[in-house]
Amino acid sequence: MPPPVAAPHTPSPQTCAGPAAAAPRKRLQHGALRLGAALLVGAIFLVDALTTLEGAVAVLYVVAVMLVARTARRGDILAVAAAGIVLTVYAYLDTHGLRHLGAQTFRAAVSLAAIAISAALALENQRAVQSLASQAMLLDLSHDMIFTRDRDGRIAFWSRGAAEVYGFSAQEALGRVADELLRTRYAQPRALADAVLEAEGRWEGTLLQTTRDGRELHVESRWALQRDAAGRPWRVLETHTDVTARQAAHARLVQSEQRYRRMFDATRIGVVQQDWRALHAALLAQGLEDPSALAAHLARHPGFAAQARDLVRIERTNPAFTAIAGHTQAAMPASLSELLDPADDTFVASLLAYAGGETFFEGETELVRADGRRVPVLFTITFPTAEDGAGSVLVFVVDITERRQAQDAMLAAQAELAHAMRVATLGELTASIAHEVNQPLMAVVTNGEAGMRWLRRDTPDLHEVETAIARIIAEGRRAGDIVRRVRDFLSKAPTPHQPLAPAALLADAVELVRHEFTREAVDVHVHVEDDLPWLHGDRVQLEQVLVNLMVNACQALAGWRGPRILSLHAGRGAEATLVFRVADTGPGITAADLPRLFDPFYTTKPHGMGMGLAICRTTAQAHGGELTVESMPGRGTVFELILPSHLDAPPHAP
Amino acid sequence: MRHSPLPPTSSVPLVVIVDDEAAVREALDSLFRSIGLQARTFASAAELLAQALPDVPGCIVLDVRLPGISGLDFQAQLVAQGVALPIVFMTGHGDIPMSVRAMKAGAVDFLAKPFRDQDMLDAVSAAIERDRQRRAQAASLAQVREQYQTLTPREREVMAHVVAGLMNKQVAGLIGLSEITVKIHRGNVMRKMGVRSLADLVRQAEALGIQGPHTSV
Repeated sequence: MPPPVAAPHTPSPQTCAGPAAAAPRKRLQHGALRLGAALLVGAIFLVDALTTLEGAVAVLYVVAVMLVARTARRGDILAVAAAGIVLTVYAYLDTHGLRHLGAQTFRAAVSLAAIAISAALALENQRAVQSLASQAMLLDLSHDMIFTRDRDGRIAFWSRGAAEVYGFSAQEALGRVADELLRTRYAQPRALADAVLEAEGRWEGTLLQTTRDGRELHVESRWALQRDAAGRPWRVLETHTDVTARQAAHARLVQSEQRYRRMFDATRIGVVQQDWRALHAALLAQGLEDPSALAAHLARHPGFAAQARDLVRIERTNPAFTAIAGHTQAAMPASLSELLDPADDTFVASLLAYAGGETFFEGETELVRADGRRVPVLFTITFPTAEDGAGSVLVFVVDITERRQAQDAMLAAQAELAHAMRVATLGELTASIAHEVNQPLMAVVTNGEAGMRWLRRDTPDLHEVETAIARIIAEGRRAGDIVRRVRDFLSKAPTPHQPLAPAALLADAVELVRHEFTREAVDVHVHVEDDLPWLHGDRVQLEQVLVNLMVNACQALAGWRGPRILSLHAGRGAEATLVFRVADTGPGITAADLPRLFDPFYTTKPHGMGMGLAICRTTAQAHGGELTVESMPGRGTVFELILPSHLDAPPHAP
Repeated sequence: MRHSPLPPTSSVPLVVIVDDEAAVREALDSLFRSIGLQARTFASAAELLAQALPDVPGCIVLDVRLPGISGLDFQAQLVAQGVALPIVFMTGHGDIPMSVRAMKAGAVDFLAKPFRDQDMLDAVSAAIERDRQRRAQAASLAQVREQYQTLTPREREVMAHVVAGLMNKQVAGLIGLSEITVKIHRGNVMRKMGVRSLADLVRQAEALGIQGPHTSV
C-alpha cells in the first residue's frame, strides 16, 4: 500500500475533473475507449481470420485489452480479453481445424497466453487504481485546498477543495507553477521555506494567496516532501486552510483589544483590575454569601473587614490610576489594604453590595498615596455577573481633589458669610449685649463700694465685706462669660464638630438674646425634655441658627399688641432626631412671604439683608438636618430646627 | 426677695429697690445698709404692689426697664395707689427720652448704670429728705384740718370772709351780725386755729383750700 502522499501519483485525470462536468465526460471517454477497443478487436479478427499472414496477429488483442483497461472497469477488461481469446480460438479453428498441430498452434497458444496475462495485469492495475481513486476521493472531501507539485513547482494534483476555493478548475491548474497561479506571497523569503522543507521534510507557515476572482486569502499552509526510491525529492503535497475569516475575526479582536487598551491607558479615569476570587472563596467558606449574614458577621467581628480587604488582589492598574495613587506601576501594592485608609468604610459597604448581588457599587473615599498623602476619590466598582467573574472586578476611580477643593472653598465662603451674618446679628444685639455686660459690671462696682463702706464703719462688718467680695467674684466671672460667649459667637474659624448637649446649646443662645426679650417685654418660656440625646455639630453655627430665630421672633413681637410670648422647646423628634422649636405669638408671616422666606436676599425687614434664614437653613442642612416654618397670620410663627441626634448623653455630661 | 436685717423702725429711712437683676438688688441692698438705711428688694413691680410698706421716710430705687411693665407705667400705678414715695430711676445707657419723661412725672433723680455710689447715695438722701419734708407738710396740714374741724359753722363763715380780706364791719354787714359779735368769732377762730396773725390764718386757709366766701369745706 503506497503512502497517502503517493496516492495522486497515478491519478487518472478523470477523477479530478471539474465536479459538474466530470461524470458525463467520463462516460463519454469510457464510451470512446470501448468503441475503439471493439473496432480494434474487429479489425484484428478480420486480419487474423481472412488473411493467411504467417504470424501472431492475435497477440495484437493485447492492445485492445490495454486500451479498454484505461476505463479502469473490470467488466470492460474481462469482456475485451474474453472476446480476444474467443476470436483467436475461432480464427485458428476456422483456418486450421482441430487436427492440425504445428507452428500455428504454438503461435495461437502464445497469443492466448499474452491476452490472458495482459488481462490479468490490467485487472491488477485496475484494482490498484480503484484503491488510489478512493483515496483521492477522500482528499476531495476535504474543504482544505490540497494539491501536489513536482520539483519544478508544477501542479500535478488539484483537489476539489482547491478548485472550489481558488476558483481554478483542475484543467486550468494542472501543469501550472503553483506560486504563479495563486500569486503566493510569503511572509519570509521562499528560499527559507524550501530550506526547512529540504531539511525536515515538512514546512508550515502562513501565506497570502489570490483566487481566480482576485480575492486575497490568508491561508495556513503545510507542506510535505515525498522522496523517490533513491531518496531524491520527488513531489510536494501542499495542504492549505483558508483562515481569512478567522484572520479577520482575529484582526477585529486585536482591534477591539487595542481600542480598550487605548482607553485603559489613555483615559483620565483611573482603572484598577482587582481579583476577588480569594475573597469570594473566603465568603463561601464561612457561609457569608448572604448579605444579612455578612452584615451580622461584620458586626460581631470588626476585624473581618480588614481581613477581607487583604484578600483583594490588585491585578492591573492603568497609568491614570498610578498617577492618582502616586505609586509607580512596579511598586503598586498587591493588596487593596495598602491603598485604603484603615478608617475607610466604603469597602465594607461595597462588600455588602457584592454579597447582595449588586452589579456595581459607587462611593467616595480616600486613597493613601505612596507619599502618605490622602487623595479624595469617587469610585465605581463593577462586579461581573459570571461565577468566575470575581477574578476581574474593575474599579473606576476619579480624583476629586479639585472638586473637593472647590467644595472647601464654597464651604469657606459660606462660613465667611455666616460669620458676616453673626457680626450683623450681634450688631443688632449691641444694646442688649452692652446691657448684659453692664449689669455685672455695675454689680461689681456697687458691691465693691458697699464693701468699702462696711469696712470703713466704726466697727467694720467683715461678714458683709466677705459677702460683697464673693459677689464681686461671681459677677466678674459672669461678665467674663458674657464676653467669652460673644467672642465665641464671633469666632471666624469654623469650630470642629463636637458632641453638644441640646440644653446647653439652647441656654447659651438664650443668654445672648435674653435682654432683647426683657426690653421688648417678651415672656420667654423655655422647656427642655429630660435625658435628651446629644447631637454632633458646629456649636457656633448651631447657636447662630437659634439666636437668629430668637432675634427674629423678638423683632416680630416688638410692638405687637397681642400676647408677647416666646416658647423655646428642645425635644425628641421622629427617627433619632432632635427638634428645637422656636414659637412666637407675634403677627405671623403672610402666605405670600412664607414660601420665599429662606431665599437669599429675601427680607421683610426694612434694613434686613435677607441672608439670616438662608444661612440658617444651609447650616441645618449641612448638619444633616432641616429648618422648617409654619405660620398663622395673627397667631404666630413656629420654626423647627430638626437635627440628627448622634449619641446618647455621656454618662458624666455637664 | 431679701429683707433688711434691721427691724423697720419709724426713725430709720427705707429704700425700696426694684430691679429684675438679683445681682443689682443685692449690691444696692448692701450699699444702702452700709450707711445705715434700711432696704427692701423686689424683683418686679407686682411684688412691690402686693406688699404693704412701713410708714417711714424713704424712696424707691427703680430700674426703668422692668419685665412685664415699664418703669414709667409703674410710676403711674404707684401714684394711683397713693404711694407717694419719691422715685430714683436707674437706667442702662441711651434712655434719654425715657429719663425726660420720668423726670416730668416726678422722678427725683435719674442715674445711668453703672453709677458712682456717692451719686446714688446723694440721690437717695435727697429723695428721702424730700419725702421727709413731704411727710412733715402732710403732718402739719392734718393738724390744721383737725383745728378747723373744731370751728363752729358761724366761725368758719367768719373765717372765710376774713381770709378773703374783708373788714370786720363788712363781714358783719354781709352775714347780718353786729361788728362786735364778728370780732368775738374772729378771736375764737384765731385761737382755735393757733395763729397769731391774719397772714398765718390766710396760709392755713390756702392749705385747707378755702378760697372764697362761698366755699364750703
